[in-house]
Amino acid sequence: MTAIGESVPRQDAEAKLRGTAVYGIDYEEPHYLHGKILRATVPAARIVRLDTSKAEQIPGVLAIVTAQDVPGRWGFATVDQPLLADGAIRYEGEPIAAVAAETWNQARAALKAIELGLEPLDVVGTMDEALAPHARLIHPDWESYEMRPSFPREGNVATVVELERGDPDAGFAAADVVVEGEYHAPRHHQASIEPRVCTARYEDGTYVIHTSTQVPFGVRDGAAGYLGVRPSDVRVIVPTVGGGFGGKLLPTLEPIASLLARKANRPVKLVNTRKEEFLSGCPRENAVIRIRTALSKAGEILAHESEVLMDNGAYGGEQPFVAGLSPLIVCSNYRTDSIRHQTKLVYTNTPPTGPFRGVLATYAVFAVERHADEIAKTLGMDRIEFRRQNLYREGDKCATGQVLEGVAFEETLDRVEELAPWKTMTGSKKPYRGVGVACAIWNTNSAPGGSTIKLNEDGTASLTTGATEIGTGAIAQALPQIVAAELGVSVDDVFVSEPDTSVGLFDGGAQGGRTTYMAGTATKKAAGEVREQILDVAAGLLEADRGDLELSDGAVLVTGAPDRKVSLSKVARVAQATDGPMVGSGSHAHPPIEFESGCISGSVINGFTGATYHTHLAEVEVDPDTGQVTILRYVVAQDVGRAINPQAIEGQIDGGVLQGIGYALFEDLRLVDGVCVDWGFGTYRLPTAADMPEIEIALVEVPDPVGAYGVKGAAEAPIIPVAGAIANAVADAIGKPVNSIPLTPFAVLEAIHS
Amino acid sequence: MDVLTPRTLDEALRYRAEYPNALPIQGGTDVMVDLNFDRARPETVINLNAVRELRSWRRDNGAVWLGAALTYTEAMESELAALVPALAEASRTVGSRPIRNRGTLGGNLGTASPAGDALPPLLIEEAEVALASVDGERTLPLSEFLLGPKKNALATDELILGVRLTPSAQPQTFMKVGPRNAMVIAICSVALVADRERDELRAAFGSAGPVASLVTAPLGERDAFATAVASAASPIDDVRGTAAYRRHALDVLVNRAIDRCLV
Repeated sequence: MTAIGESVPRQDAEAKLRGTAVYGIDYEEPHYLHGKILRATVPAARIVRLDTSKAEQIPGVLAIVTAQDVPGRWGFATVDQPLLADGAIRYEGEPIAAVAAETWNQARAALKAIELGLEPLDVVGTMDEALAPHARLIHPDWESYEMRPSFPREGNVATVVELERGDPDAGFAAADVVVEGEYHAPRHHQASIEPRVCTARYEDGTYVIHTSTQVPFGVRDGAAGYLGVRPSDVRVIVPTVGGGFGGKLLPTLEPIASLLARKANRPVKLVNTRKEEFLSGCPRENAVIRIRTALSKAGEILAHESEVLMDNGAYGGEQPFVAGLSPLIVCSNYRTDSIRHQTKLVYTNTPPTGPFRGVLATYAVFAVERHADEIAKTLGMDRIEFRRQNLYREGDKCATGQVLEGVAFEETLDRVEELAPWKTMTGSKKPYRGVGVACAIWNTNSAPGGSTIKLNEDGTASLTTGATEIGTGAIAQALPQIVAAELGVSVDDVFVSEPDTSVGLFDGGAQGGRTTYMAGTATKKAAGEVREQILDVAAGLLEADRGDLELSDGAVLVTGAPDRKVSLSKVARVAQATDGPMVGSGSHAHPPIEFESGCISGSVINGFTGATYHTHLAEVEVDPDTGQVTILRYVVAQDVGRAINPQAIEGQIDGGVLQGIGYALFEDLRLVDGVCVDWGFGTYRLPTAADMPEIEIALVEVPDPVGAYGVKGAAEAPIIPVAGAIANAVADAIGKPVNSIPLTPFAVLEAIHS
Repeated sequence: MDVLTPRTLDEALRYRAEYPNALPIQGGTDVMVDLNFDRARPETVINLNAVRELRSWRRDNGAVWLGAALTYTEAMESELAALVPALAEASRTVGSRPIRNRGTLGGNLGTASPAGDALPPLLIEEAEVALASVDGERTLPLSEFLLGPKKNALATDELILGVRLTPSAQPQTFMKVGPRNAMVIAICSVALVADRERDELRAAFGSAGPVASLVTAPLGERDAFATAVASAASPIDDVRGTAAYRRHALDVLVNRAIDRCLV
């Protein structure tokens, strides 16, 4: 078998490099109209007047929609969000109305002609304000909102997650040492190069939507929910996606474009401006994490207590589900059986937050790993020694009591040690230089998926799946590699069609590192089915026993008799003529996990699936006069289960680490009284190539029992430990704790002088 | 919006006289941003890209003439970089390569941002700005040309021809502090020359006051110079940084620049 473990080039490389790939933003339909959205310019107000009559008179304007055209609410968890603001404005950037016109300028003129009367409301701009006694309720009718499933919530608290296991009080009572810390993390914008964009048309009772999304079936369901139709009445097709990172996970523009298209009876294209992206892009939430750990003098953890506040923004989205992951990551990495945890997701008058690569874990691991260094310092222990003593080992239980198997922390520490020996790195400390490590365990999203493969008459294979390529290479190379390996064909002879919810089997979307793990495993099953059919037909043609046959180089061979073979092309043609076209399907869902039921509430995430293990090491130099941080060295050891395409994974690690560097050092989507300060790349600073050190990578392969070939998620996680590793290195360099990110020159200088 | 594309300087000046509200555009790295963000909607744009007289640079009787259309990339090229090294250093810190290929000295002067990277290096070399209209030419010291944040002495019928300076041939440098290593608007910047011939330290700061400004002192006062520059500045708090940090960073940068230039 070939192709597995080979760094074959990705199928979409040439088109992307030459600029011929058709992205969502390039996609156009004949006679399409230009859509534009009227967005709120204040974070909180009552809408007392909304008059579109003048706007309707603007030449070229064919449709205007408001909340009247789309009554009701929708939401993945809590049904709290109107598509267009309904009576109240709850965040700056909230859509109020939308227009479709022949030209972009006409659409713009129409927006300006919409008359809007507002009565300002007190802005509940921060979590502290939202949680204050007698705070104004952002959703006064919260109790009437349906929630599926129903989690504890109250007023401005959108959901509460709680976990308690063992006897934390006894642990704290018996402690020799208690270490406490509070950690702060900013909002973090996904900043995909291509903004969110979609084109919708209404045709024969079906909404056909071409959209740049990473979860086509989620967009289908969301659009259908808002439009009040069956999911099958919405067809979502995905052209090439110009980056997502979680930002293109939720339905946003699609239902609005669909409404406009139906009303105008013409296709409508909606494109977010960069400012709209910043205002309504569902950034990673800002958060506060508090951790208390009870320890013995010997460095044993006796109990762990933690509390997290996550800023939900004005509406829930899928954040109530994400919050359920919090205890698994915050009460993590280090062995203890006495845990108490609470996470609150808090409504504010700010843009809704949402999924971003490594949801929640980027700041949870920052907090956990900063805290680990603080513990080691308090105990007078070496930081690596503390980790080696306490990190999860095989058979340990994670927060929910799930017994962990295939734990690979040791391996990742060992590989980092080989590349950057700890004693050498920390032995002769130079002023304002520091070294930090951060370890993380991360989940592979296990939403189900399915694939269909047909063997073509020329011996090539076509793969159809609802799974989506967002740049990781999972569809552009990993899945074709799996098909090629199973059928003995060249990777170049495997064709993948674009995701289309009316055609492909359901897929949970390009999120959480799941595509190769779940869609890949489904694809292996589908290929296995085709392989069985090939062997049946070939056995007859070759007059050989099935067990003596092997698939290689586009043919079926009799083992040990190289001249006895039949091409796959012939097999396919014979099969087609006798039994009909050859096709195989594979569906895959993750088996349920065992945990200590009853210890957790407010969550549907009870344990890890496809758990991966990570150790990052950073060496930094701090300029003591300006506070600027320079990363001198960066080392990653990452457990990937099985590397289907090592080069692709290394590319994802490079990208993830750079994104993590931005989060650790620069990025902060600032809001003042609910108003967005950073709405462009002029002040919201992403890292550039000049900020990127060479990244040294070691891949660790501890196979997963469920994923095909032992594969686990690989692309999402490398962003997660970065802020922790860099913050620990900066703290080491300056001899002071740094517990808030980003570590801007201002913040670091202040810490030095604190 | 009308776009006028004159082919000669004379033609450009005639347009400028005829359309006093027209906005001149050269590289477009500032103007296009303003247009895209709806901050500017001029009825007429005068596109200067075809005006050859504004391009390039030349030696001029011991002085150096830098055309308004000189790009940052050109300012980084070796021969000119050797003559005006701090300007070359500043140019290297501007934007990305495409921006450096498009952005020009004339544009930096025209925008007159307190953060204009080319301005401090020109101030320490005591550059003069040449302006022209259909009625003739005039010359102003750069320090008099810069009037305030995004305000300069250019009359509505004038165009910037370029700058003239006499290279001091003395050790000089440019430094800026930004939150990341490339493609940033400076939190603050400094150009400094240690002029042994005139027994003078000259420093000019950017992003630390309403205009980029020059401060001078005898070489003997080097120990107090950084503090002097920092106190001459009048920085503000804004989205990019605080006044306190800017003043502090200015002090740090001036000391480092002195160390670099006076070895």
